[in-house]
Amino acid sequence: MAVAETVQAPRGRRPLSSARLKRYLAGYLFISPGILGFVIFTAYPMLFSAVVSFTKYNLLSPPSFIGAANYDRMINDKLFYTALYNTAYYTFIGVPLQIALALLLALALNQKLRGINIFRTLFYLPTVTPAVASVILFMYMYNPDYGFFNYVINLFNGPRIDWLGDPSWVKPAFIIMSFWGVGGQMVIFLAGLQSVPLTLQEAASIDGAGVIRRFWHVTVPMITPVIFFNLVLGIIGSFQVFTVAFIATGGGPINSTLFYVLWLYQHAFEFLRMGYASTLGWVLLAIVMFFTAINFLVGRSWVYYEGATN
Amino acid sequence: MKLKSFSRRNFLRAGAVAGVGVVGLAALAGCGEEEAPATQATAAPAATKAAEPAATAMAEKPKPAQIELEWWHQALIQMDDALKLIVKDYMGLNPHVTLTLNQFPFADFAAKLLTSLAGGVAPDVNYVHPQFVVQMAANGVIEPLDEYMKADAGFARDDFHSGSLEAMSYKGKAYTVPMFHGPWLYIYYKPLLENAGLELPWDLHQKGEWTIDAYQNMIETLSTGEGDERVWGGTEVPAALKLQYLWIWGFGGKVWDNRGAFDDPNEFVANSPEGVAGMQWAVDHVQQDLVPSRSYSKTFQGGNQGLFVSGRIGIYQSHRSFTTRIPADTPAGVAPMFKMPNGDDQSRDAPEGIGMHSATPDKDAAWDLVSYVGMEGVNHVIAAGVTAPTRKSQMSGEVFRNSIVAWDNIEVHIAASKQLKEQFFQPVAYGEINKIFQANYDEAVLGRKTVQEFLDDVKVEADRLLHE
Repeated sequence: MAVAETVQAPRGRRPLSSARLKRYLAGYLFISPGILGFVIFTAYPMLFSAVVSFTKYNLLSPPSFIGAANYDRMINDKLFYTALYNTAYYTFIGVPLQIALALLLALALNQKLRGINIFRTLFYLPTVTPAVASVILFMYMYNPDYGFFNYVINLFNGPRIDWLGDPSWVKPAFIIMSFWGVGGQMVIFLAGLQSVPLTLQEAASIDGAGVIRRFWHVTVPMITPVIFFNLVLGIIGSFQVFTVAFIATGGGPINSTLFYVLWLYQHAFEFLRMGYASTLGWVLLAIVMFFTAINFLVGRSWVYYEGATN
Repeated sequence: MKLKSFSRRNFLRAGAVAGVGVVGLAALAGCGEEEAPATQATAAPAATKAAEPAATAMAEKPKPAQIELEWWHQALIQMDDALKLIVKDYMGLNPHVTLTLNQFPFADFAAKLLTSLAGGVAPDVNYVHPQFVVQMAANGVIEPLDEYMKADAGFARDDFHSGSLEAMSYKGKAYTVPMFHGPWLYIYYKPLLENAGLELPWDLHQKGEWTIDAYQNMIETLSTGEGDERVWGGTEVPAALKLQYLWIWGFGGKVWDNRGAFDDPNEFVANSPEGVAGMQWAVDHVQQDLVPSRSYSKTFQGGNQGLFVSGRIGIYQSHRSFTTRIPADTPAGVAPMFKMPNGDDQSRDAPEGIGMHSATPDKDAAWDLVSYVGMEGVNHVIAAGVTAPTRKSQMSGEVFRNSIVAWDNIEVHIAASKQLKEQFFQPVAYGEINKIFQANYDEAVLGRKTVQEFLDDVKVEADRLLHE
């Protein structure tokens, strides 16, 4: 009925009938809690922080307008670049490895075995472990003398590594720690794998494709939307890494784990530079949007959507 | 119960009314904000509402007006019961006061308090960490307390340990009443020292021979073994600048140009030859593996305390709140700060306290609570083993005596309290300067910079921040 009305409606504006007005009003009323929540808790704080980024504001006294001084400060802030580098390192090395590991686990858990659901639950469990508890557990595992990792390395006569004390090892240590939480990505991959039509696998098999060829030429293309999804969310999430550095190292040693959001937090609540912290927040948004846009642009060439026109 | 039918029309009407109401309220709230002066908007406490004095108060028997007070404090599991007891006692003594205690984990406390202040919501009385006292005082968030202290006959200002009130002062005015007192203590593992043929630090102290050389000799002698058999003589003082003051002072240097003043400093001067010598001494301990590195102790269960209880640290530099965490049957002993090369045994304290919000509507009521906590309530915190007595007269009292573990020694605490002579000033930009200091300290420890280069680099950044 509504479709018919829309089709028959003339191009010019026409006054809203009372019935249509009521329908619109009802629609807006139904979505108003969501809109109000967004406006109050997201849009307004964002707008406020945009304004604050042009001020000097220590939370304790009213903000004072300083123009683009915070942006100028950021350009000349050596630690801004350190934080950006550390975050990029963690993201661009960590996220592909997380995706590879999650896919590997999903493939393993996609087998038809007795009790497979128990394994799926076990591999997903770390994801629901509180981050703080996981970080503390990993800190003990990184002890140079008693820790699990050095114990394994020692079995192969490897070097004694000071995982959290050596600036060259601490970021790899954090990336390893991030593998603990791949359960979320794994579940998404599992869902993706289960949606790959069996007929395609069978057809490829009849044509003589082995397991590896079927994986690369059937499975992977069919799950590219899922890989893309995990990649985009993984990058966005990694750029916001905070808890692990906040608890384990506080950004050290020698700022080697000073991640972007940690630097932002320290400015906001330790140095009371809320204006500068807001600046960092907006620049982070721009950075994340930039990489997401790149992902979407590049994704056109490798992500396959079944049924899409191009 | 019969449900009334609610037609779609009625529902839409009700929704529209509610929507208009919400928009109206938002608009009213917005108007209110605009009309309020900016300073009030950021500082006005919303939580406290002293009731209007009853207009019809009886002439002969004036009933005290009902007062609501809100107190925010850091949540520390060891003092949870103590704080609740303070609230109970205070309300028992003051039935006209409703005291609400809100506790927040230390890591979140600053963020919670600061954002609440910015939002115009503030407690009447709040916990103040030394790192924020200057910022809060400089921005007029907390009230100077000197006049209240003078006017309050029950408040024994002179009874507080010297340096305690001063450390929480700004521009000569006291802003908090201490709730914590913990001068440095050296807790030693007796069997390790006895097996190495070393005289115990407390015995040396009593003979006047507890010096930096004696300490250095001890930690060098006690540091033995490799890998998981390694025993370290001492512990590393965390890299925070405020914890390094003693080394810089003890070797004859200064941290800021206006040592001893209550005003903002103009210059970071720790890169003097004396300051370099002090920091070199501290850095050498890590480089020579006489103390476990921070990364090592952080990855060991219980940290330095765990290593000490395991007999893998000879002398554990600590303070009162840690003495009660070390089991009573540990073969431990305790000594105060040793004498530094300048002949002084100046110790360090971080007298966290409580302050009064400047905009609390009933300042007398808020002060009454602050005074009570500082004078009486703190006894519960002492009994819980979290703090040493904040006042001199409490040192030999029953509360403290009953709170110490078997191996502890009250005489040591008394001696340690007398070693506090000077305040530890943290300027407004301390947090940022400290961040730079820590990274440079790490570089010196890892041998990437000399100590002179480390302190010179800190000076450049610190001086810039002091004048921003």
